[in-house]
Amino acid sequence: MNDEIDILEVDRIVESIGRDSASVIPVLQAMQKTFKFLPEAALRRVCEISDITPAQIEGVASFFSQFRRSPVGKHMISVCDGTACHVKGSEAVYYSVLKDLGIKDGDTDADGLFTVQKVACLGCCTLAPAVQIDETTYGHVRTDTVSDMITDFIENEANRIPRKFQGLEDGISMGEVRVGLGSCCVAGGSAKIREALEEELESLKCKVDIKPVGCVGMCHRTPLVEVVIPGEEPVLYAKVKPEDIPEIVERHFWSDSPFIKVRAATERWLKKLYTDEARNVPDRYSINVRDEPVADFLSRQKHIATEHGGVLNPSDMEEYKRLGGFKAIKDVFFKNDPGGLISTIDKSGLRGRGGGGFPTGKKWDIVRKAPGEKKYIVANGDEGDPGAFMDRMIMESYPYRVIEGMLIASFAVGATEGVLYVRAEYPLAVKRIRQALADMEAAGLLGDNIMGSGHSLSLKIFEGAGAFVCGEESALIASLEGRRGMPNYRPPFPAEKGLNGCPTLVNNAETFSVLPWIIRNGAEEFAKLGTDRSKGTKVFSLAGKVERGGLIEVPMGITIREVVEQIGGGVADGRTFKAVQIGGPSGGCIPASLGDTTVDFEALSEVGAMMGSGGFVVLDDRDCMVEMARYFLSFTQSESCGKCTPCRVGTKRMLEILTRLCKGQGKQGDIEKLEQLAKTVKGQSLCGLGKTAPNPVLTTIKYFREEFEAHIEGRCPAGKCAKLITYSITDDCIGCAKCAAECPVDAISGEPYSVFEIDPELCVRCDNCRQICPVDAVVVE
Amino acid sequence: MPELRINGLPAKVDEGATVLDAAELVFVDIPTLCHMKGCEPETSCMLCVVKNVATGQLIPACSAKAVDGMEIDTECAEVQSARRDILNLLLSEHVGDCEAPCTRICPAHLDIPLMLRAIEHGNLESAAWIAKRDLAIPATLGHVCPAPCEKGCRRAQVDEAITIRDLHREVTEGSTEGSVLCFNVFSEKHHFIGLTPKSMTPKSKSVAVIGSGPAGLSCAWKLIQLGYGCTVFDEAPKAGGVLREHNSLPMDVLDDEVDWLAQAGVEFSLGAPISMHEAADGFDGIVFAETEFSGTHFADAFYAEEHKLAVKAVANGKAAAVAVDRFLKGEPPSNKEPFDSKTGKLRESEVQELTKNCATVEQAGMPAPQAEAARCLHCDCRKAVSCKLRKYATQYGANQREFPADERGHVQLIGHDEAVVFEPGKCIKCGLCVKITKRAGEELGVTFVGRGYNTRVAVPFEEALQDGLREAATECVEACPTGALAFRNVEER
Ligand code: SF4
Ligand code: SF4
Ligand code: SF4
Ligand code: FES
Repeated sequence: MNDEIDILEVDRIVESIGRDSASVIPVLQAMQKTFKFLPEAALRRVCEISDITPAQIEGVASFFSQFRRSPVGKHMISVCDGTACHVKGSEAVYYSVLKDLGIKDGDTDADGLFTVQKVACLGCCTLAPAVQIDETTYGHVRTDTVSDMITDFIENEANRIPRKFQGLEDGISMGEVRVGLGSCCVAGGSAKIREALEEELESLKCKVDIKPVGCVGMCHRTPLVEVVIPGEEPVLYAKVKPEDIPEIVERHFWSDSPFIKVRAATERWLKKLYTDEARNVPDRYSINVRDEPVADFLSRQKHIATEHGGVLNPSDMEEYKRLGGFKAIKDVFFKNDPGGLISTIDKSGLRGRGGGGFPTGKKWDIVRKAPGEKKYIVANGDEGDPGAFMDRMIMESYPYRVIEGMLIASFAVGATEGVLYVRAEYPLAVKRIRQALADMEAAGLLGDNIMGSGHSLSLKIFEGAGAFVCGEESALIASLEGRRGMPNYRPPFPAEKGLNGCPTLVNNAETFSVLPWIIRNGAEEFAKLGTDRSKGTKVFSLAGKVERGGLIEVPMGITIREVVEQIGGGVADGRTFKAVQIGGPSGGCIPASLGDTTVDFEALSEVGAMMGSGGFVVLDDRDCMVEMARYFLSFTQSESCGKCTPCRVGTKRMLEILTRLCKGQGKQGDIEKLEQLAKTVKGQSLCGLGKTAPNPVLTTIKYFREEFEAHIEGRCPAGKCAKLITYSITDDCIGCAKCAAECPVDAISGEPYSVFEIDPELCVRCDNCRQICPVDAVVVE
Repeated sequence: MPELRINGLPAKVDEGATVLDAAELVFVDIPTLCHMKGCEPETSCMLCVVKNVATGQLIPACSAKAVDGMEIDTECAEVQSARRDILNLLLSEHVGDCEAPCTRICPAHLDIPLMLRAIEHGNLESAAWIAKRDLAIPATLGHVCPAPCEKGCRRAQVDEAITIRDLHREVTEGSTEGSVLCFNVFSEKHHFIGLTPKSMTPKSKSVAVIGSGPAGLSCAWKLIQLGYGCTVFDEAPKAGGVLREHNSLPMDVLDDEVDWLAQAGVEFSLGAPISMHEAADGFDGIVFAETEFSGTHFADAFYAEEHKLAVKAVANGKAAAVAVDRFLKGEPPSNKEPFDSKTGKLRESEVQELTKNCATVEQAGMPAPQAEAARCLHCDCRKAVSCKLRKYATQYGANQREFPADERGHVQLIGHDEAVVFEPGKCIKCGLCVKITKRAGEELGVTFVGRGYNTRVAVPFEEALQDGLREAATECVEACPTGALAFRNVEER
C-alpha cells in the first residue's frame, strides 16, 4: 500500500482542529477527507504531535464505520440498505452493482474507480431503492437500470467542474417532479409542461429528476404534476398550465449554491431522462389518486416540528423570523424564569422524541438541579435507524428552529456550551446548521449575553462518524470526548455527569424543534393534542409499501391504520397490508390485525414495538417476517459496540439462527432458542441498543409464529427467502429474452419468441428476472 | 451512609460504594470477570448481575451504586440462570482447550502435556513424578496400555502422534538408562515430588483396600496422596492382581512399582485370607477393588471396579479414593468435573499455528526423549488453574454447546517468540489489559480494535505484543481473567 503522504497536511489538520485527545474524531474526519482513507503514517504522525495516543487513535479509527484504513476507489457508490430500500429490493440492487462493476472480492473494482458500500438510510426513502454515487442520488434504482445508472454517472462526471468548486449540495437530487404522460395527460398538454419544467429547473440550477409517469387515473384534471421531495409530503397539482411552472418550481426547490453549476451535465441529464426509452418506469409511479387523499393527507397531520414545511426557505433566517421565529426565545428571556419554563414544558407533557420517551421537563429539572459550574447541551441528530430520516429532514429544513429550541432549553437548565451532533452522512444538514449557527451568531442570537438576557450559549457542530450506538447518550458523550462510542452503565446519567464530567442535557433534534411552538402557543395547546400519556405530535418517516411515503407529522393517538390508509394512501400495488414496522431496530412489527393500535409511547410498547426514532415502514403480503426480523437484527448486530457480553455475543447467535431459518436450514427448537437468547439480550444488555435489539424478533415471533414454523419446514409463505423458493416461467412468456440477459448466472435459456426456462439448480434467486419480465411470466413458489 | 440488604444481610457502606463492595462486606460472593479493584468498572461481562428486589431488574453489581434501602438478591434462580447464560454466551465464542485432548482421553487423566514439557526441559524427575502422581503404575502401564491418548494427539495432524506411552514408561522405568529411578529419589527427596513431610505424617484416618490389581493400587496411592493411611489386602502372595497374568509385562517392572508404593506409605497385607471383620473394624473406610467382591454389601463400602483395560481400572481406583475422601470429610458425593472448554478438530492452519508452541530450533540437538517431547503442541491452556472463566463455568454448570456458533473462531497465538502469549480466541473483551496499559503509561499499550462481535484486543498499528506490554506485562497477565494473556513458559500446575 502506498503510504507516502504529505505529513505537512497532517500537521495542518491537527493545527487547525486541536491537539487535545477530544479532537481525535474531527481530526480523523479531516484526514479522511484529505487522503480519502486513513494512512497509517498519518495516524502515527498525529500521535507524535498531539495528546492523542496510538491506542486511542487505533481504537477510535476502527470503531466508527465512517473511517477506512485502505484506499477507496475514485467514486463511492452507496447503496442504501435502509428499511424502505431493503423492502423494495436494495439487496438485489447491491449485488447488481457489484456484478456490473465486476467486483468479486472486497468492495472496490479492479480499476480503483468505484468502491461500493451498503449504507443505512440515506434519508430519501421515497425514492427507494436509492443509490448515491458521490454526491448524486439515484432513485428507484432497479437491477436492470444499474448499468445505465453507472454509465450515466460516468458520462456526467466527465462534464463536471472539479469537485472542490462544487457546493456540497450539488449533485444531490433535491427530489423529483412527476409529469403525467398518460395519453390523456399528453392530450392535456403535458409535453409543454415538461418543456417548461426543464427550462425552469435549468435556470435555477436545481438538480431535480423529471419523471414521466403513466396515467394517474385523474384524467379529468390533466395535466398533472406531482412534486416529490424526499422526506416531504408529495404535492399534486392538477390542470397545470405551462405558465404555472416557475411558481411551482420556486415553491419547492430553492437554489442556494453560489457556485456555478454543471450546466452541460444538467442539460444532458434531463434530456437523457426524458428520452431514455430503456428506462422502464416502475408501476409504483402511477399514483392511484382519488380525490380525497389530497385533502385528507393534509388534514390528518399537524405541523409543529415541521411548521411551515414547504413554505419556509431553510436557509433564510429573515423568513424564519417573519414566520414567528425567535418569538419564543424572546418570550423566554423576557419572563426570565427558568423554573417556570421547566414547569411549562412539564405541563405540556412533552416527552423525548429520540425513542425512550423520557419526560422532557423532568430531564431538564435534573440537569438544572445537578451541581456543577459548567453545563452542556447536546442536540442528538445522530439518527441511525436504518428506516428513518426525520432528524435529517428537521435539521435540513428547520435549522433555526432546532437551534432556537436549544437556546430555550439551555436557558432552562443553565447550559452555556453545546454541541449539535449530526451524522456525517448528512452533509446538507451539516451545511445548513453551520450556516444557521453563523447567521445567529452574527445576529447576536448566539454567543455571550444573548439579547441582553445575561444568558450565553456557544454551539458547535460535531459530525457523528457512523455508529448507531451513539444514539445512546453515554456512548454519544464518549465519542464527543474522543473515545470509542461505548456506553457506560447508568446511573450516573449524563444529566448529572455527562460531557467532561459535567451535567449534560441530551435531547433529540426533534424534541428541540417543538419547543418554540410550545412556548408560542402554550403548554395547554400542546397537551390538547395526543393521548393521556403521550402529548403533541410525532414525526415519522412513512415508507415501505405505501402509495405515498414521506415525512409526516401526526398527532399522538392517531391509529396505525389511519396513518397507512389516510396518509399513506393505502398499500401500494394492490397488495394486502400485512404489518407495520415501527421504531426501527428497537421497535417491532405490528400486524395489520392490530391496526387500531394508537401511536403513543405506552400503546406501542404494550404491543411489543416502541416509538423509537420514528421509522414507520409498511409491509405487504410479499414481505417475509422472518426475513424482516433477520434484517433488523443484522443491523443491530453489526452496530453493537461489542462491550457487553449479551449484546456482543447474543445478537450474533440470534442472527445466526435467523440467517439459517431464511436459508431453509432451520431446525426444531430454533424458535425457542431465539426466545431464550432474546430474553438474555433484552434483560442483561448494558445499554438501550442491546436491551431493545430483540424487539423486532420477539414481535415477529409473537404475531407471525406460523411463518417461523413454516421456515423450519422449508417454506417461505411470502415467497421471499431465496433458498426456500423456486423461480419458473409460465406459458405467458413471450420469449423476449430480457430475463436471460439479466440473469447473473445464466440460469435462463430458451429460443427467442418461445417460452424460456429457468434451471433451478443454477438459479440464485436474485429476482432480476421477475422484475424485468414485461408480462409477469416469472413466478415464484 | 447507605444501608442496604444483601440476601437479607444488612450492610452499611460508604457513599459511592457499589453493590459489589457491599456484598464483600457481608462475605457474599459475587462472580466477576471484567472487574478489578482500583479500576473504573468496565461493565462488560455482565456476570456479576444481581437482582434488585424492588424493581425486579438484574443489575451489574460491580457498577451499580449501593442505594439506601436497596434490597439485593444474589442467589435466586433468576440470577443463577442469567449468569449461566452469560457464561454460555462467552463460551460459545471461546476457542481453546482447558485440558489437552490426550489428557481428556486418557481414562486416568495423566497430565500429559505437563509431563512432556518437563521432559522437554530435561526435567525428568518432575516428569516421572507427574506420571506417578496421576497413574500410580506408569511404568507398568507403559507396557500394557493400548495408549488411547495417542489417538487423540493433535500432533498426528502435523506428522505423527507423540509416543506418550513410551515416554511415561521411559521416565519411570527403573532399569532404563538415563531415566530417573523414582523410588530411589523418593525417600530422600520426597518434598521435591510434592509429598511434604506434613502430608507424610501418620494419618488420623485409614482406609482398607480389598484387592491389589491396578484399581486397588491406584486407589491406595491416591488415598495416600489425600493424606490417609491405607492398607491393601490380597489373598495372593504378590500384589498386582490381573496384571500378574499379563505376558508382555516384565514382572520386575511391576514389582518395582509395588515396592515404590510401599515406600510411599501404602501398607500391604498379602498371602492371607482376608478377614472382612478385621477390615471393617480396624479402618475408617473400605474399598472393594476386586470383581468377586462387588456383590458384597457393607455399610459405607466403596467400589473400585477392576477393568480389563488397566488404565481404566487405575481411573476407577482414583475415583473411589476421591469418593471415600468426601465421605470421610462429611461432604456429599459429587460428580462435578471441572469445566473443560473444547475446541474440537483443528483446521489445517490452526495446527500450523500451534506448532509455534514447539521449540523446533532446539529440538535438533536434544537427546531422544527430549526431542520427542518437544514435538508436543501445548494444546492445553496455560492458565487452566487460575482461569476465572473456567472456575465460574464449573461453578455454574455452564454448557459450551448451549448457544452453538455457526462457525467457531480461529486458534491463534500472538507473540509466540516472546515471554507473553496472547490467544485472541480466549479473550472475553473485559478491557482490563487496555486499562492497565493505559494506566501504566505504555507508549503503545493495547487497545480494542474493531467493533461489535469482531472487537479484538491488539497492539496499535499491529506492532509486536512485547512492544505493547513493555511496562505492564506481568500486571496484565495477572489481571487477565482467562488464558488469553499468559506467560509463555510459566507452569501453573
Ligand atoms: S482460558 Fe480458561 S476456559 Fe479457556 S481454555 Fe483456558 S482454562 Fe479453559
Ligand atoms: S500435541 Fe501434546 S498436548 Fe496436544 S494432544 Fe498431543 S501430546 Fe497432548
Ligand atoms: S486479553 Fe485483555 S481484554 Fe482479553 S480477557 Fe485478557 S485482560 Fe481481558
Ligand atoms: S460486569 Fe460486573 S464484573 Fe463484569
